[in-house]
Amino acid sequence: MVFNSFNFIVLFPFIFLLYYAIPAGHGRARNLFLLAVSYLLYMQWEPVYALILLEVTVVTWLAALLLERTRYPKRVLAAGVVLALLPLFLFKYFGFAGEAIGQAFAMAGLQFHLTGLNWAIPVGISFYTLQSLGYLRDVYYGRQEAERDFLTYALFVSFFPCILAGPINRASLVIPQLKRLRPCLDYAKAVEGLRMLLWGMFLKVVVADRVALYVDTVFGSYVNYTGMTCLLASLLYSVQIYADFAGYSLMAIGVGRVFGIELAENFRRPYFAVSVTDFWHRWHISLSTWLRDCIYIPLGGSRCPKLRNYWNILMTFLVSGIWHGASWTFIAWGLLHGISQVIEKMLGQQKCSYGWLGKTLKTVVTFLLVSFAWIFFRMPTLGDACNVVARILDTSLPKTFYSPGGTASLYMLLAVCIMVVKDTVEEAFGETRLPFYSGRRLVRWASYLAVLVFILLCGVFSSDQFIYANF
Amino acid sequence: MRRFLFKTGLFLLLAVLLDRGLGTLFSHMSDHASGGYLGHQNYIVNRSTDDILVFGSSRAIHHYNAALIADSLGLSCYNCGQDGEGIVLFHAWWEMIRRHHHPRLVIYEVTPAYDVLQGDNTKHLGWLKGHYDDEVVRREFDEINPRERYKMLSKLYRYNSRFHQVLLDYLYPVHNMTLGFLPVHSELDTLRIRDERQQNEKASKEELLTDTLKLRYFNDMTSDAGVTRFVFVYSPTWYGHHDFGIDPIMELAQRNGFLFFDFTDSTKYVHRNEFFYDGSHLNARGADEFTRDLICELRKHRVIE
Repeated sequence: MVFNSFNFIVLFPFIFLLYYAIPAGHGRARNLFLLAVSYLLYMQWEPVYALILLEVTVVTWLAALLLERTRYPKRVLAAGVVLALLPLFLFKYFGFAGEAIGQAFAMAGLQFHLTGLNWAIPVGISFYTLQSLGYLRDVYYGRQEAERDFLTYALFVSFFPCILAGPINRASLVIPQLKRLRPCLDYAKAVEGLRMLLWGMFLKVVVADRVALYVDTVFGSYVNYTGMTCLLASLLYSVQIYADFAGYSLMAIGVGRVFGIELAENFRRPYFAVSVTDFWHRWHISLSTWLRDCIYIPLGGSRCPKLRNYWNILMTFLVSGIWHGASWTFIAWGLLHGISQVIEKMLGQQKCSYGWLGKTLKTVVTFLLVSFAWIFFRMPTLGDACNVVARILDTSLPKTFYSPGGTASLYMLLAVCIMVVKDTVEEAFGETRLPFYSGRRLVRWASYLAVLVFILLCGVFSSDQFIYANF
Repeated sequence: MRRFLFKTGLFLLLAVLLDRGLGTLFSHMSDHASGGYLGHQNYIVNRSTDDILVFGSSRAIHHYNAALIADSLGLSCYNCGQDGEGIVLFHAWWEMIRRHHHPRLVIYEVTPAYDVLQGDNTKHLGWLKGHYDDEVVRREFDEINPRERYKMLSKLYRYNSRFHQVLLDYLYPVHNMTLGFLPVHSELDTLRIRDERQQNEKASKEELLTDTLKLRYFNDMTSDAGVTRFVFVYSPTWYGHHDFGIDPIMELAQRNGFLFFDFTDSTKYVHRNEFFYDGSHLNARGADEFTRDLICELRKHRVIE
């Protein structure tokens, strides 16, 4: 569900009231209600794609049940994985694979053409497929019991706050909560949920969408802008994608909490990371955890010869790149992160053992490295990404910045500053020092109202899509 | 549960009160702003009694020296141009102006992207948000984006992205326009010329779709004009003539007997760096030169007799 949409603002209170109108003792009825809501909201995008969601759910649910009974668990796991991945492959990668094979044949002087399917990608397919596969893997390794109740499992896969763009939850976190009888309303959790919803909305509409106006203008026709402008746009894109995705994740987790369900943490102030390795412990944590458990460790992890370990890191981030999109730009982005981490490991620079100055320096270097990689993530083709980099490095271009006009720059600067100050205070002193968590009710409520006023006065309400919803 | 609902309700009540209070304050400041863009806007919709009004986007506000027109024709003139705006804004303004005044002549600088072609019309409602309580404006909001009416329930949202403008124009009014004209004293930025060229090449390749709502607004304006004459103008561009999407306005002018002056292929201006600050906009020198040429055309065709 798009949290900054008009539909959400109207529907959310109704869903909330109807959910809590079901007595706490009828946990199954509540789950059934949430499942129905999740499917109905999903069908808003394209009703027929609910069948794909159902297929992935049924396949992984049955495969998990079979895993506990069969004498050939590997075969069942393989069949389950293939069948669960099939829609993802067909919708997302078929065209790209056909194109890549065609290019490979062309290089050998042969002709091969595989017609692409040209289907729109079902919303959230990458997220719910990964979540289901994670569950299957946990059952295979005996870390999670196969869920017998289809309703509970289907809700785990399709729970509406996280179906669009995660977080990618582990079954061991969510399923027990769904099975447990939830109290009428967990006051503290619900209040925290609303707080997260408010701050997530601020990040999305005030920071991300405001910065996007600049970034989209520059990257939309980068050949017309100076290297300095391209550099500024690429740094701002780092801000945009963080505010966009962290904003979405906060809102998803917040909505989950209002319904009494705890979802996986997804962000921990990633731009304060002291290395790219550290960055991945703070950025899209649910994905990096999934990649660690399902790709990195099965490949051998770090308990193997050094070279093999480096190879495992590269492969894990190659998969991460491919997961983000069927394009060479995402592959390059994934490999850049992989290579950076291999180098860090070789130099023993994954952590920071220096003083505050060394830490600050490493944080800045990491931010620049990550921002450099985001250029490949953002641009439509490898050629465009390289051109942007070339413009940034071109010293012959004028050293001027494009400024979108006083008002737009002012709002953008103000929004980014508020976000940076909040994250810095949280990183340095913990969230208890923030006005949101003040012991004084007056300060707390004043800060909520100030953020709300800021959203109304500075928010960009014309954009309603999240970057990660495209994956 | 009761505690949660009570506190949530209380928070919402406080939020509504704050929205009303601050919204009313902004509304007062906006209505009483005497300088800047808001002062300009207040003058146009509430007080203008000028014989000649100039409508159009940035190409109007930077191209038409209203003082020169007024002096040359012996009539009062005001430049109502607004950056990045087109018929969506001027149709509403026209309805509001007509309540207290009927000018003798309206010079409309046509910008196809804002006046003819399809696009996101919601973004052109920005300057009208502050006047949402006006029936004309509300009707236009409903026609363009019915969902906006729900956003407009918030009085603060009406000043979204403009609240600092409201504060500045009310507290520190700047009078940097001369009868609405805002000359740009700047040299040509060749980098931006490339931008225009590329955009035009792109535009020529894409299918350009006409926005029927925009054309209807033009028809509404011109068909019930009364004593007002309309003149449509396409002022000079650095890179020469292009006519993407301009045809419907030319047809409208022809049908209603209005004049259409096209200066885009005028050799006096094409590729003359000294007259422009970018590919689409004249600088102060170019604006004065063009205004003189326009006055000659108006005299030649006896537009004002």
